[in-house]
Amino acid sequence: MTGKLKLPRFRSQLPILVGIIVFMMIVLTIISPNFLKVQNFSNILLKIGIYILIASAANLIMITGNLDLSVGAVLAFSGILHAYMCKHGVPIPLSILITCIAAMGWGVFNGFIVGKLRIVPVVATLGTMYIAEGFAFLIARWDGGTNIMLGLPGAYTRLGRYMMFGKIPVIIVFVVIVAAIFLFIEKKTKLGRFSYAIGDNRSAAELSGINVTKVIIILYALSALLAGFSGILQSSRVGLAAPNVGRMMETYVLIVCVLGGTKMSGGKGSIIGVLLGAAIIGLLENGLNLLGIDHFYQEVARGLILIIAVLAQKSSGNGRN
Amino acid sequence: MKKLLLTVLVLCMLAGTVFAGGEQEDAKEYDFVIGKIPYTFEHAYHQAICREFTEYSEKMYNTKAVIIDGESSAEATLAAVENLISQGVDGIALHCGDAGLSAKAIDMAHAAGVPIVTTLIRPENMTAPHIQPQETPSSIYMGAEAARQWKAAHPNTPIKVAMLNFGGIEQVWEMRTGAFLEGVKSVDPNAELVTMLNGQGSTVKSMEIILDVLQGDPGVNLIFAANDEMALGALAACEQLGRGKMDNGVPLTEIIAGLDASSAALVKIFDPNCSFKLTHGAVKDIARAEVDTVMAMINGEIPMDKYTETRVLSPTFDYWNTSLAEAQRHLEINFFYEGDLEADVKAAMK
Repeated sequence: MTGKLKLPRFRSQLPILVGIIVFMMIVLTIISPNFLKVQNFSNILLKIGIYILIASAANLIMITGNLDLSVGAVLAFSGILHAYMCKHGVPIPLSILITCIAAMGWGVFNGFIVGKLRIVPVVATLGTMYIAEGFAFLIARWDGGTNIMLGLPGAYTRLGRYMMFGKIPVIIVFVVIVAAIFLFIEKKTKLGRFSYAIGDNRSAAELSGINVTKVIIILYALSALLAGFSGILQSSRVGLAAPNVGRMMETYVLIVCVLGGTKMSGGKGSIIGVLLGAAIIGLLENGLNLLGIDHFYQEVARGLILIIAVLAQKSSGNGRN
Repeated sequence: MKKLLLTVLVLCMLAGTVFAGGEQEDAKEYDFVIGKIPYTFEHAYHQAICREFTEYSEKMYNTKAVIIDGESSAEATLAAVENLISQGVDGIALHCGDAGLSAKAIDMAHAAGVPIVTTLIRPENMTAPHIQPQETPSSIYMGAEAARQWKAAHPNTPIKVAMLNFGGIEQVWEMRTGAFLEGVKSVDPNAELVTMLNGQGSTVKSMEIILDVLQGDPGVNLIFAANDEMALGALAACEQLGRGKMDNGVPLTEIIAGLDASSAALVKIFDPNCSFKLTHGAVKDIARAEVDTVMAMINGEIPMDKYTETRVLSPTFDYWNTSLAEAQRHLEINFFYEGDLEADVKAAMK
């Protein structure tokens, strides 16, 4: 007896995640007759689509050993800004462009204070979160209310509710495209390789000639761009923009990344892991809602899943540092 | 360098004196200062209440209102009470979702000699005046009317209800969700409550939940949300599934009911082809009752440590029984609405 509990060891976390997903699907298929339907999977993908879009870039930030807590606030800010401009006569495509640029501005700001000024990312992005959220509320107030719905052009919901080939929600198409792009970035580009190098050892990366500040600024800008675009998609889908919609988004993105095996201290993680992590969250929430489980128990289940994920990281050797 | 520092110091002192003097003069203009803590400043309903509270207290009592957001959080609400007490306000109006917390707030205010009035959620200790919007009868009416309309259109389809609440606020069952169900069951005793989940007061969250609920049981045909924001989320979910439809007020897919009677809700309610059809709520009367009660305590007209209940109507608005003119008037009086509801409805239908 050593007195120390030893966890079973696995070479990678991904098989564990796949196992959890298969297990959840079997259980949900047995207990809910409406689970195994195309429409339900579409619902799940729509639910986790926004998480995946944002986590794709936020995951690379985590791989560098940093963090972005401002994604939810940037999402809310962008939704409100887009709605405000559309309501006041700016053409929708132009409004989308301006909103994406504004969202990237938050990311560049984050990247500058984290990468250049070396402010701790939690503190820096928390500051940005409060500022962006404050501006979201201000814009709504300038418009005269708490959210923007009245006066939006009829075409406002067209993007968010558009169905490709009349069947596939456009958000799912964007998710596939963005995931593919980030898989490419991760495996085939300097940006991907540099991100891992910075996360492994920032000093060594700097000494080997990598412009760490530039990489961090680019990653934060990408994260904010996707958060901003997600804000546009979400407000378009719902048909209104509210400044409080991004609450807890940063937590979900964090959970998705950690569940997917991304090491919080940097150096490890993958977009495939993010997809699997998001799938677990989506299946969990969908299953609990299908079964009508009260939200108190849903919170407990969410917490348990996060702890299981961390234990899985430990088992696969990812979390030892 | 010394001269520069001295100059900056003198300028700061001068500026401070000017602004402080200005503030004192500003305070002198009012007879009293009273505090108001809304449940959350994020909802249109509470923003409108705060605006009416501020304007009415100034106009009727030459009293300044200080608003501090309760942020729908126990900690923030209690901190707001402490803040107002330390500011030395003459009275406080509190809208808090927690009966125990309201009791604690009353104790704190009374210990400091500050009169306090609570709204909607009855506090545990009941030692201060209280404003009670009459939500229960309105929710019962909405449940009954929704069930009647559904049964008239689909006499052979069993009624299945799904609800979105705030979670953790027990009196919401008595005033909103439970009362709505009671109304439904008064028409169809066999009506089934399929599920009741926490929409967190959020449109997006409610949309996601209702998508799952309708997947779990596509037979759901009455949806009640404990505020309009959540009802709009439920509507967005229905629309995404090709539902959310009516044929000139005749329910085709489901009937959605909300609460607060805000402009965003009424625009949908008066769209004859949209399934969001009922809501209830009042702003002006509640805000005014809060101010009147606080001022009555300050002026010694009623005791500050005795429970009294001022009841305020929460009128219902639905497509079938309310005229557009009534709804327009309600919005103008309660939500400072400056638009043309009919035009907004037509624009939203495009």
